[in-house]
Amino acid sequence: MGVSRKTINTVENARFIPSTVLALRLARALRVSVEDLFSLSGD
Amino acid sequence: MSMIVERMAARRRTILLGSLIGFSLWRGAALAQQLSPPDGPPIIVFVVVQMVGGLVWAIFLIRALAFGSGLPVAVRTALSDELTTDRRRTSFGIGLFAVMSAQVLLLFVAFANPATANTGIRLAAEFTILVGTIATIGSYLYLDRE
Repeated sequence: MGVSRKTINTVENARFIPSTVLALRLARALRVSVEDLFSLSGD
Repeated sequence: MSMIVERMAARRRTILLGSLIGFSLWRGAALAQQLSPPDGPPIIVFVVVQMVGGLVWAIFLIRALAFGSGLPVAVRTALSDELTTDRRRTSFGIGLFAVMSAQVLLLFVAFANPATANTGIRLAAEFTILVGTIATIGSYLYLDRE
C-alpha cells in the first residue's frame, strides 16, 4: 500500500487524516467502501 | 516488508538524534566560546566539545548519506509516506518560526543594548542556524516519537 504500519496506526486512532488516495487504497484493501471506513464527525 | 520499514524508521530516528546532538555540541560550543567572558572556562574546554561534537555529527552525516541505498523501492516509499511528509512539513514550519523568533530576539537585544549591535553578522548567523536546526530536527523527533 506504500505506507508504514505507523501511518495505518495513526489513521486508526484518528490522529492523522489520510489523503483521498490513501483512503481509497485502504478501502480497496479491506474490500469495503470509503464511507464504511471514514465519516464526518457530525454524522 | 513491514519489519524492514520499522527497522529503517528506527535507524532514521537514531541518525537524526545523533546528528542533532553532534551538531548542537559542535556549533553550540563554538557559539559559547565566542560569547564567553575573558574570565570564563578555558578555551580548551570549548575546543574539545567542538571536536567531539563535530566528530559525532560527521559520523551520523555519513550514516545519513548511506541511509536508504540498496533498499527496495517499496520500502523507500513507505519510509517517505504521507504521515512522514506531513510531519516533515510541520517540523519545517516550526523551524521557520524558530528562526524568525531568533531574529526578532537578536533585533530586540541589539535595540535594548546598543553595545551588542556590532557583535557581528557571523555570530547572529551561527545563532540563527543553531536554533533553526535544533527546532526543525527536534520537533520532527518529537512528532515521530511514538
